[in-house]
Amino acid sequence: MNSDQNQIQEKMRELTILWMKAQPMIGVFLATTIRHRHDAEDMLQQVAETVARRFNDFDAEQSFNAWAMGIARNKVGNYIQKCSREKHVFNVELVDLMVVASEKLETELENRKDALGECVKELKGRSQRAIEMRYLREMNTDEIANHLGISSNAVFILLHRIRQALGKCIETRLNSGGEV
Amino acid sequence: MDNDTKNNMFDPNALISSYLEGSLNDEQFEQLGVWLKADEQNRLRLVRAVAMEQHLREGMRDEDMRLLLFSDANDVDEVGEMDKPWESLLDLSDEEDIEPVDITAFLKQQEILNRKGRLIHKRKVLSDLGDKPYRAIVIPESAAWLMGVAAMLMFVVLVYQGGQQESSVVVKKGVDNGGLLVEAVVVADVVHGADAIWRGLEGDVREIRAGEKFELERGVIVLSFYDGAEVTVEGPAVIRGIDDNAMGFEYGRLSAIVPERAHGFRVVTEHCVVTDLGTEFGVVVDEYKGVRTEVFEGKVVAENPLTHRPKVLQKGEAVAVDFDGLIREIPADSTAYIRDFEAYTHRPEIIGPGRYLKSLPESVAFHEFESTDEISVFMERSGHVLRDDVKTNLEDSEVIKAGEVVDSYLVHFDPVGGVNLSGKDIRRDIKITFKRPVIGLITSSELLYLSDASCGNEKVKYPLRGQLKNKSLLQRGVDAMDDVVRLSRDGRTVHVRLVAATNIDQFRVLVEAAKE
Repeated sequence: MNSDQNQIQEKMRELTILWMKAQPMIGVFLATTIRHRHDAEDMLQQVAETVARRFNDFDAEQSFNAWAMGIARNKVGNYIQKCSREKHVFNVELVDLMVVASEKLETELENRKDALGECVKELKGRSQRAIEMRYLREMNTDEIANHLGISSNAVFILLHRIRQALGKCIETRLNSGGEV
Repeated sequence: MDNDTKNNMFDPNALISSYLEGSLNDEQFEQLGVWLKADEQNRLRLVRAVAMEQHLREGMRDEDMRLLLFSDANDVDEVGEMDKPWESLLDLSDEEDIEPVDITAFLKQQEILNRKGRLIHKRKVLSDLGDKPYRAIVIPESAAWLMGVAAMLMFVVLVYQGGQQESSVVVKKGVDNGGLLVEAVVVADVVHGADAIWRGLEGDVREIRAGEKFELERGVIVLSFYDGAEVTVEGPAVIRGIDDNAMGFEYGRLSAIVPERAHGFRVVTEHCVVTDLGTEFGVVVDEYKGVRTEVFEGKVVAENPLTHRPKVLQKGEAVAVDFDGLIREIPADSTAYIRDFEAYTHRPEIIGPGRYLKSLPESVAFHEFESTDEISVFMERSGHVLRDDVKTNLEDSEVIKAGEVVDSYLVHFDPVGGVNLSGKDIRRDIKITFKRPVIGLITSSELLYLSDASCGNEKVKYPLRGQLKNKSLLQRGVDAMDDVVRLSRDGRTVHVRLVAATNIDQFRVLVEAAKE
């Protein structure tokens, strides 16, 4: 293996590590600003590809997260322009504000995920079934309502309460250093 | 939070929930934007909520997380450390060359590890994911190392999504399948039940998991499979969960309604697999494991698993499948299957040689629905609001006013071949007890013809009026001297004696509908 190849592989390894760290934050940013989940997932791939293509342009003295987020932000900007006639699309000003918010939460995402893992275990009965249907089976509220024998409105409220409860549980765990 | 919260656009938490559910209206979306712009804490709250949503979704697809979620600590089968296959995928140190490639071709040549560390063929991944996001991605030759990186990153995404596309399972201990611990995911919910008694269980069965077997001693239940099929099972029956779109059926009677999204739904019996091709059908497994299946709508395929000679059945066709795989055509009888659970719960109790039809017959016209042995009773309409006044033959309530809500039943007796052939009258006595008060009896031919439109069911073919050459009314009511229809003092039981003379005997019973 010659030195050029070594250099290439070293670069790839570096990119991989950096991307794996940045990806959760960018994924959340995209999911926040792009209403359709599958569009957000497609967009994450596009960002990954662009990051890889342009990695040579990245200044190692700067923050990789900020650089990759900039690419994501531009992609979202283009998406918004394309979808300008659609309803319920964030404007550019709000997207920029969400960039800042996403970056601020970058350091706590992993801890939140771990805490969530513990909190979810505390769900029982119908709450457990509801999130299984919602997030594992990707059922909509009407389908969940049909299976649980309750109204769609009741499903909405149930999911809302579950989110609230999980959110509180996460905050409690984070504030107590994970010991609850 | 009360029910109004969903519509309370000033509740930020409700706005976030609605945003996550995609159910914001225009005004609420505008409010969300204002609220987000106003305060950074609000924006952080939304990002945290979205992150939680993503983590939940990812977690549900993560086997370890599901194990923690759906199994008690002692209930979880030990699993090894989950592999981190992307790490090995990204470790390209052993790669000798990184050639410029079209990523699609690249993917097709290789196998990758999914998130669970199992080998899956790349073609499967591509077919599972669809080719839309991947086909167009071509790495330029001028940036050789970047191609590898791009491929690698795409791998990350692919592997991640490949994991997402894996069939979702919840592993539980205690479900045995030939000595193997199987993945016991809930495959169907019991969404309705009437008088259901389960063998060996005191309470109700609310869900069916893959591999679980239940014996319904009596009663009726309705199963809603996760892929969409709805199955009504009549006890006694033995059922088994297989997957989201298939069930095992060892004994009993069922009917299935399969929506388009669940086409391919299977009922697996020992000697026959019935596969839906877009349809509504029934299956009976008798005590000797013989199978009968009948198509009410659409098509099914019946196939003996040994002979592999599939038989396609069309609407109105029925076959019996014996243990040796022989498939033979038999007469269809859709009225033997419950196709409307709600209507079935209103069935009256019948004492004597009478039969309650579990679903609507196609016709009760002259000599088109014959039975010498039994008087047939079926529900024509449930919770039906009368559009016009209806005249009845009940003395106390000769007219039921328009707007009344009634359940309508038809009692029908038409001996096979007509009584003239048998040379003697055929008399049948039954007692029919309804769950709610009878408010009208329509026994005369004249009023029966008149009430067919308002109280009958448009799916049923009724006798046509005035078929005789002399234009006289073709009799179908219980007008004969020997016929007796008498309502009990409590207004719920009808005593019936029908003597079939020359024509059919029919009468209509209007029952007060249950208040919602």
